[in-house]
Amino acid sequence: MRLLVILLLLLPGLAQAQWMRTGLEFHGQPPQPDPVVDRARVEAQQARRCEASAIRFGDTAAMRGAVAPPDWDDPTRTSAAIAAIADRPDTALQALDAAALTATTDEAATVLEAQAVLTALQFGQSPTVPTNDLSGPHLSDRLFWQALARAPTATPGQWTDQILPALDAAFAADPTSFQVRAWRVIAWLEARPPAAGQCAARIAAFSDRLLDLSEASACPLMLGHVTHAIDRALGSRPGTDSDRARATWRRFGEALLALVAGAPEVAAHRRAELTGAGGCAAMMGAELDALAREGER
Amino acid sequence: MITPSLLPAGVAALGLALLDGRIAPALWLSLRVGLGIAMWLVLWQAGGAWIAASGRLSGLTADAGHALALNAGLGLIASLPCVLALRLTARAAPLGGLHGLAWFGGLILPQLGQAGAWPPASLTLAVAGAGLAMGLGRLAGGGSP
Repeated sequence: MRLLVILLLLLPGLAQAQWMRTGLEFHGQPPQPDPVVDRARVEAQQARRCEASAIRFGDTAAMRGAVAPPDWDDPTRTSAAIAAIADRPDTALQALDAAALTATTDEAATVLEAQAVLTALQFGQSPTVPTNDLSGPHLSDRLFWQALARAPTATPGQWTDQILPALDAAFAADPTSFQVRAWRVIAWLEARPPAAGQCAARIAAFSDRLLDLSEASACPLMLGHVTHAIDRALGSRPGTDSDRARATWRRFGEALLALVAGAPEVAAHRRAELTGAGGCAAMMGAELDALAREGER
Repeated sequence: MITPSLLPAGVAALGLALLDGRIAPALWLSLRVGLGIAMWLVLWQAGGAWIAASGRLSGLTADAGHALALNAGLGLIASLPCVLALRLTARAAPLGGLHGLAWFGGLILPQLGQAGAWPPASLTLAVAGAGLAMGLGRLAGGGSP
């Protein structure tokens, strides 16, 4: 009895917890599952919708305005213009080489080097993409192009081990680059890496990437463009994707983007397609349902 | 919940009375034990309601060990007036422990468990409660088994 009294007196000093009572018994409340998709980010983007963000669009750091533009002289401008309108790679790259010879600052040389790499990629070549001594937006571009150059022949393992980490590093180097955010979603769909905790962890990881992407602008038009770009990169629509598991992830992605963009009917359509899809589809559906309910409040 | 469970408890008590051979004292014992256990139940419920309403739980951790200690403590404290009442009304009669067990099964056991689940803490509490109920029954029977 004394022991019992001591125990009851000590109990108030113990840590905080949630209790519930069933019949005569008090017991701990079963832990509520943490929301898998970041509700705060979804709500913030739903509230902001089409407002401008700090995320920039453009193929290179210079085009995005992520670096201060060098003071170009006329011969350099002329050479860059020739490169831009050339329909042969040799002509374009020679013009950029000529422009690089006249570069008077390291920043100008870096910008022209980036332009040469981009031009080679646009002509379907496989240029070397040096990253020496670069940081910030320039490094982000180079890592992005390295990933892009590997993409056409990459195996699922390479998507997971090489391309995805390169794009994550590019994102860290310049979080304002929209193209990197978009390709982080595409690369994840190609790799679909397993994660500890499986479904919850994977849905959280994928939705984080999607929300990074929609952070640029949660406009329906914008997100329609994004899903179209993803379809083009993957060569199919979710309904025609030969990989059924990937199609399920894509449907979830489109539903989430639609919810963020304020298109509940599109989200409901994609969510309905998840029913009975297997894999993580049940948890995806539950998350989408919860987000839809919260959106209605 | 309580009303349907009174039926098997009552049948068990009647069966024990018939088994005893001396019907009237056995039924009287069963009635006293049943009332004692019902009193225990009411006091336990009231104590739990008071604890829940007092806000004292907000400072406690809800892991299984602490929950068991809390429940066992409440059950034990609630049983003390019953111990006193049954001790004061004790009459020598056999099978008191079994009467206690029968009424425990009918009145207390349906109120235990965690929404149909029986984790180890609930099982421990049920076993301890059953033991205490048998003790109450024996006490009511004047200490005879």
